[in-house]
Amino acid sequence: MTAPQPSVVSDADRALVGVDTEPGYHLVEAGAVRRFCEAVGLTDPIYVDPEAANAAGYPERPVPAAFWCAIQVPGSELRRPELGGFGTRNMNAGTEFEYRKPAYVGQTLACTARIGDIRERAGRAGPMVITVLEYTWRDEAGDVVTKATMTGVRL
Amino acid sequence: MARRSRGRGDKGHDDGSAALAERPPAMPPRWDEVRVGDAIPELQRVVSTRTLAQFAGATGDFYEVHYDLPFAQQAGLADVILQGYLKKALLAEAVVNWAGSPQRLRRLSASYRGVDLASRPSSPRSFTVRGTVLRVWEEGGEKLVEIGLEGCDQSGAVTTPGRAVVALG
Repeated sequence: MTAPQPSVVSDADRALVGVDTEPGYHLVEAGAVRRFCEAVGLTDPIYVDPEAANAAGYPERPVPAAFWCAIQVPGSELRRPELGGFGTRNMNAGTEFEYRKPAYVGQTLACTARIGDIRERAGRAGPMVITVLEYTWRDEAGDVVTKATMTGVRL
Repeated sequence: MARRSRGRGDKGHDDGSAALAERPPAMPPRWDEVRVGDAIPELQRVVSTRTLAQFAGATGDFYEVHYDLPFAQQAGLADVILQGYLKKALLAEAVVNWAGSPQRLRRLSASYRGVDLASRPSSPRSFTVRGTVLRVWEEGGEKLVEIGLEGCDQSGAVTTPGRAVVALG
């Protein structure tokens, strides 16, 4: 049994929760999409060939469903909690994408990020801190295209 | 357990790209014919160290555990491991192959419960995605299907469970 631990989440850390970053702008670049497809093994030409996309009924090359993991901007502007120097390992526990509106190659998307939640838990291997990061991409019209949630564990 | 060889390319040539699956036909299923318990076509990939390096470059995630063997061993791993997002991308592909379009996805989640080691010529490994329909319903004018996903390692253990919601009209 581990002894009760004092909280490692400071008031300054908690104040970061729910605060959106300024938007960072990201051009969905054809070469980046192509490299992503090659790495993942996506062979459907709709992602890389405008004519194939048109022939399949798309106005432009659609963005692959998992491409959002390749464009996490803005990362540097998101202030991470310091957690009093707690922990030595970071793990990605899970991610969720929510698709609201189609996205296409060539669009410039605005991305904001925020810390959605910070909580502490007593794990089997000792205390852990769970941090939920939320990213929102909007298109030129200001409509939400995709939201991504990432749950990180520090222990 | 039966393991199909679909998804393997040239035998004896493991450079990652050789493992690309042939894409199943993109005919979307009819929503009113989808039933709870239906299975979606399985996706199987052999992920080489070359693929891990490619994916690191494509995503900008240069965590050494995915390409630096001594680093991975020091972290207690037997070999370099697949990126969580690479596994999620393969979950996505299995669903998109079934649904016929990436734009039919409404939601996709994945949990990274266990590690998957890279495939080596000396110890080939596959990553397999299976999916089963959990729920069929209408909401907000859309005909929806929820799919439970299982990303499995070579031994069949589920390392990467996930869920997807797809709109079929």
